Amino acid sequence: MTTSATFGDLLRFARGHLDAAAEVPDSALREESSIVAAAQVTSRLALTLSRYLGDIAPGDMAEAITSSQLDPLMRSAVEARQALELAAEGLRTDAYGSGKPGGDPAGPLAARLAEAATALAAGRDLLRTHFTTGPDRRWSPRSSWASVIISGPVTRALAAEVAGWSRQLALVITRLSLAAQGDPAIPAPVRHGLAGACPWLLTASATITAGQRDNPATAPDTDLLHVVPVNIAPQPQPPQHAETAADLAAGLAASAARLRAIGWATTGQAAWAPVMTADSWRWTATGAAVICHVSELMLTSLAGRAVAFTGAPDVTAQLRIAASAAANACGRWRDVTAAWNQITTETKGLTAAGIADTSDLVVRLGRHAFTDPQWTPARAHRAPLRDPADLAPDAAQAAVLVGAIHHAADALACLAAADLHAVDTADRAGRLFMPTRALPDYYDVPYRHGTATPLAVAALLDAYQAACGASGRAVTDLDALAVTTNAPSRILAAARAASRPANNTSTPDTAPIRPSNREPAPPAPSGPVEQEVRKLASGDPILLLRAKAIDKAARKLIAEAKDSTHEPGTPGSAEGNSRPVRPARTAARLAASSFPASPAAPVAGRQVGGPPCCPTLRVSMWASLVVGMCATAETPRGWCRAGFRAHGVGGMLILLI
Amino acid sequence: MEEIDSMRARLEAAGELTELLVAAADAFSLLLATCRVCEERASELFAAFAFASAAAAQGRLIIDSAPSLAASPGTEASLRGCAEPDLAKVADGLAGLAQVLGDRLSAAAQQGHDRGDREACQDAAAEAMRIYELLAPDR
Repeated sequence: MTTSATFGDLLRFARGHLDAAAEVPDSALREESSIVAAAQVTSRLALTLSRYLGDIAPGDMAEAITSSQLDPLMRSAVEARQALELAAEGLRTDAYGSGKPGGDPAGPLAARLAEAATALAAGRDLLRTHFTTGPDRRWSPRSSWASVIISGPVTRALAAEVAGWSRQLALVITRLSLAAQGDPAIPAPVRHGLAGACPWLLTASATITAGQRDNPATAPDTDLLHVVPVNIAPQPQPPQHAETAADLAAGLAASAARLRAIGWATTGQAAWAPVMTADSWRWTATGAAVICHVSELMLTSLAGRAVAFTGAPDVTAQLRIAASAAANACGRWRDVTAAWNQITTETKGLTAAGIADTSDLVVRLGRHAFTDPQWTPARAHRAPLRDPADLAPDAAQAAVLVGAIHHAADALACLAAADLHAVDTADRAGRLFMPTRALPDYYDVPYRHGTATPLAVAALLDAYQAACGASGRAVTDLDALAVTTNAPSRILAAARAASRPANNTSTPDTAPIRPSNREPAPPAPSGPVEQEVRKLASGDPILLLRAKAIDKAARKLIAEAKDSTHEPGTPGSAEGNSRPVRPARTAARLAASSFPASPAAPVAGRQVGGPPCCPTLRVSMWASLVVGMCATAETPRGWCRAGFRAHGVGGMLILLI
Repeated sequence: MEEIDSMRARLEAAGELTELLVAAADAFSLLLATCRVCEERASELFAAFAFASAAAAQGRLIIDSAPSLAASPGTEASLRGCAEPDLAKVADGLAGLAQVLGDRLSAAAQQGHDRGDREACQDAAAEAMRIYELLAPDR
């Protein structure tokens, strides 16, 4: 049985190459081309790491400095990202030739680092498969793992991984730098870049570690990050003859994963997809009822097998609770099938995408539960339930069974939600019909079918709603059971716990995960603020980071001011008289159009309706800079609006400009 | 059980297509109602009865689409399933009824003049045979 690749798989691959890179002997670093190539690949690695952090914390340094509401983890992620970008900038050696584009990197160290860079970039791509990017570049979930990825525990774990990788890279860079210092053939900018990158990499690592001081990533957080799978449905695995219990469980988990993926993929298709038929929905609901029924039988049987759970006295009670929840879910799914008795669609047949997988779930769960290894729902294959001692000879086998039931229930919960949504969509699209004989007498329909009555549709949707709730409760009970019995499926429980709203790092206005494809800007000379900070001999790299950010923002503001002065169509210019006047794309205009005239909710520390509180000099300066950045091409407009609303500085900005 | 037997006799005796369609609609309704009742009592046979009732509901809806079916409300409201305590006996009876239903509808599908009738009979026959396969005792 095959399973989907996980983030952990890619991470292990990358780590293997990074570890191997550390073993590359110094003798391999004697050639100039090797050092230049390794520096270039390390730049790529640092850039990839910065993008991971960009996904976690989309804000900019300006926000990190001005916002008092920013979570320490987010603030540290922003600062570390900036440090990594600076390291990447310094390490760019493409001007000095580092191998052919797309060719093999020169030297064993560069080759190892390139493998690691590819794996880490693939890891980021894997996480992104759980999202879609809308026209506004905001990310929307496309799997149930999406909420796990943006959860606090996984975000913490990811940031901690980035900190670890940054430390490892710093060691590599130190070796490269030492090798480069003694080699006059190495171009001076490469030597300087190598020497300068190491502190930034260490700064990134230290910043993240400091940001997690009060709330560090735990081992379970890291485990959860590592099990995030690629969002591709596994290949169908139809039941085979004489499958072992382990095969049955693995096949069942694969079918469950496919159903979850199908549920997300088909959302919204019911309005037009001819494959989504009443037959399919009815059949799926029947399959769900059977799965719940068989689950109840197995859980009840396991509850009578207390000897398999010595040392875990709560298990028997949990099994009974879960059995009761499964029985309730079975009843609700039967209600759904009954509600379909008089309703049909204009297309027919068992054509929906999840039919085969639901069928596989039914068959495999039945083969777990009953004595016939060839069990099918047909009466000809009827068989008594397995003896409890045969069903769960020991705790390990009991855990496998609990895991199988857990996976099936989890898939049903997804299916219930997806079908509820799909049926509702089909109704809105006018795809639900009833035979004329079943319509009330006052319906004068000259056809064999008429549009389903609102009453019948309401009953159907109510039945789905109840099935959704009951399936959700069954899954919650099984979550607890899976953890107690150490079932292989317990990761589902951890994922659900992590994605609860309390653990979610997102707010309605700021999506924490967003694309961050920005290329690092070319290295800029030190600005006045940075120079001043350096003069003060401050050894704090975070202060330097902030100083650089201030200089960068100031440069943008000045550049924009120059642009707006020369912009065609600006009142007063010669061209402005001959062309239609269009609004200048100034920071002030953008700021003014980016948030409502009055705040939606009172902002702490401000009098609503009255004059704003006196802004401090620092905040006012930053407000101006943020507005300056708003107008630059590389700052997505959506985020700016969200950021202003989220941090309550918008009203103040208008007054300042 | 009597109800199942008399329904089977009615199907076998149905002559004209319109008469067969009405009897088929009632037979599917009986199958649906009886399977639903048996689901609640069955443990090992729950899956068989559940899928059979889904097929019966589908068969009933398919028959509704046959152009030659008289526009009558049918008799489903009066059918309350079967009170026979022996589920194996009930399943045998329902399998037999489904087999006759499938055979009659298959034959009608070959003979009907109207394309809509032929298609309805063919599809409904497939549902009836599915019920038979689910409830028949032998492999």
